[in-house]
Amino acid sequence: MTNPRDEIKQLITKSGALPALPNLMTELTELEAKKDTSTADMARVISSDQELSIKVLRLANSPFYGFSREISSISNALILLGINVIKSLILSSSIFELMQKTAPGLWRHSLATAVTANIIAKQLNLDHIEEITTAALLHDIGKIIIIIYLMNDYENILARVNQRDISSSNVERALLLTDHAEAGQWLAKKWLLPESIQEAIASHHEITLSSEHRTTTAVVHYANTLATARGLGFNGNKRVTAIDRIARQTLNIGDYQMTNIIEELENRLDEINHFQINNEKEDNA
Amino acid sequence: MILDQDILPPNKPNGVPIIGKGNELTRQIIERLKNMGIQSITVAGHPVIIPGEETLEQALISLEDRFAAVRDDPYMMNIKGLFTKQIKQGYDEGP
Repeated sequence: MTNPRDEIKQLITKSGALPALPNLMTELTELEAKKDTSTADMARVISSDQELSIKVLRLANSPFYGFSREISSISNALILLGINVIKSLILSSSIFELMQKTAPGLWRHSLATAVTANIIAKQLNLDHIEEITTAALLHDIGKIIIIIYLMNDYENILARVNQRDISSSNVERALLLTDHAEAGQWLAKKWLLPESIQEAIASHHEITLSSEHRTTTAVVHYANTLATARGLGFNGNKRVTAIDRIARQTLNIGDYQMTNIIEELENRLDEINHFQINNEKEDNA
Repeated sequence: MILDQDILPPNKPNGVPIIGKGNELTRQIIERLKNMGIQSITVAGHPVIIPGEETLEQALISLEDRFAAVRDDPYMMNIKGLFTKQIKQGYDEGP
């Protein structure tokens, strides 16, 4: 007899349970393995899927990356964001669409967390800002799996969280013997997402579980907390929990920097509210 | 209403602003922006309460409630103070 944890794991690994991955992923992975592959070769493969290219460009131009000029081609996107980020966006685009349709509160929370992580990473002059931002965008990807395939269970979870001051992770573990961080990690591993993104998804609530990518994980942890604190979207938690001591020590954000981060987040609220992965007008045309 | 950010031409983030920060919005200007396909702009302060939108008082009560579990943590209370200041400024109430 299977338990809920095994069932969720099977849903992730079973083909057909999640939206199909774009066909070009195989070709892209093969190209990446070759030594003489150029950015132009990669761009040509991605651009062959017009619908997907539009989605990737929309994500690349979204408020969470915060580029001051428009990214107008896949080649530019590859140069500015890097192949790791572009591959992560291609793999996740169908899940983002589902999230936007079935869990708009969670989608808005994910956007807000990504924008906040981008602001923090820039404020602290960190390396790999785009990868950190993408990790934040994907940090709750395990929740969409729970929401979509275990809808009744997730409603129970939310009911319990709202009745008492228990975090959604604790309730998930009590009910399902797993939580969204572990489910997200399974999916990230299956998709071969970059190690830093896998680690941030798996450890964004328990920083001590992170090792190689503690800075990325700490930024995602902070961003998740600040987005919840500002009430941006809904991630299943009505109340904020304290920022982890290890995360505080890792980033060592000063008062002046925190003031700038919160001020910049406030300035970008409109962008968070208006961004959609699908432009309804265009898509219905 | 006074513009709080430059309005740039659609799809030209590096272009010359159509209207600069600090200018007053008139009915004609709003009509012109609509015709250019501009869907959102940023104005100074909080001149209009949109139906369904929280008032300042409601926004501060919600913020207080979200921080209810960390009232004993000075670090988190400092963050709450920064959010309070920003929310008040957004409603033109000052710090």
